[in-house]
Amino acid sequence: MELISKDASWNDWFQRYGPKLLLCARQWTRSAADAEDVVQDAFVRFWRHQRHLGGDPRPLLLTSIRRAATDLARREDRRRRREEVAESDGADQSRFFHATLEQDERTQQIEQGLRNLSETQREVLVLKIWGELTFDEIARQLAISPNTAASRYRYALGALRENMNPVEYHG
Amino acid sequence: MDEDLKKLEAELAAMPLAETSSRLHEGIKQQLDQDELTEKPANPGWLQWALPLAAALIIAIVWPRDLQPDRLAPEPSNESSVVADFKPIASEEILYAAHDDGVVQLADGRLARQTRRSYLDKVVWRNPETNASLTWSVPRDEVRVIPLSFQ
Repeated sequence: MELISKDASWNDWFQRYGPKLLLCARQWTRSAADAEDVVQDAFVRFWRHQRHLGGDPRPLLLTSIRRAATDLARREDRRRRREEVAESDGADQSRFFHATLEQDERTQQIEQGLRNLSETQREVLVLKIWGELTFDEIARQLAISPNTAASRYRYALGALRENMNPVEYHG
Repeated sequence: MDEDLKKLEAELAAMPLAETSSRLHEGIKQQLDQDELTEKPANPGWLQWALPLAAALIIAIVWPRDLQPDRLAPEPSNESSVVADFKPIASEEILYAAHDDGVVQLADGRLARQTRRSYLDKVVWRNPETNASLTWSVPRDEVRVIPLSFQ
């Protein structure tokens, strides 16, 4: 992820990195709509007050997104509303990935594999691959040790591989 | 980490992610546009020179002569009494634009309806003895944010 120049347009930057931020936000929220809400909150706050700070914006933004997700979850009224929506619509199955027709089967396989991971494993995997954080940065985000972050990541990859192709990898 | 896991890792990193929605873009745009309006109020171009000129004029008229250095007041005059004779005779606020910005999201996540009204405030002073008048006009934007509650 590149640094943000002083005159950069938020739109160009967001077009490029918004989907990654959104996927990370999905790990901490109950629905795609909630994820969009927290990304919006965090991104606007970042763009208004923090983009001139310099340095790599990824950890800052992801911390902000995680905090916004936690705040959102605490708001009883919103949570109740979302639960009502979830009850009426079933679980939130909006897609993590975009796929063309020929890629679709593989994409679904990966997506289902991700969804089957435990929350703690999926969180680390997403932060590492799409959040582009280091293990140290992930450790700080999640208040765990870098070693724990690294081992969760390896377990997550292994579990994903098994979830996706049990025959191929066990046979 | 074995080769298979490295391949899987590379495959995941190359996955095309779902795009962000237009709703999200609109929400961000609306909030950031609002900032621009707050930072740079939409003043008509003529105000850029008219306001400083009006301010200078007011200062020139109202500035107490006895506070100015002697060299700027070479001879005694009765201008301060003339200034004192300027009386405010009219003030009005002219509403020249109103705009409904629609539903916005507040910093704490609540939804609110935002309306914007643009006024031109005018104050007129006149000296009844000389009939000289001074008009002061300044634009003002009034933004109202009304929190929404869904029953």
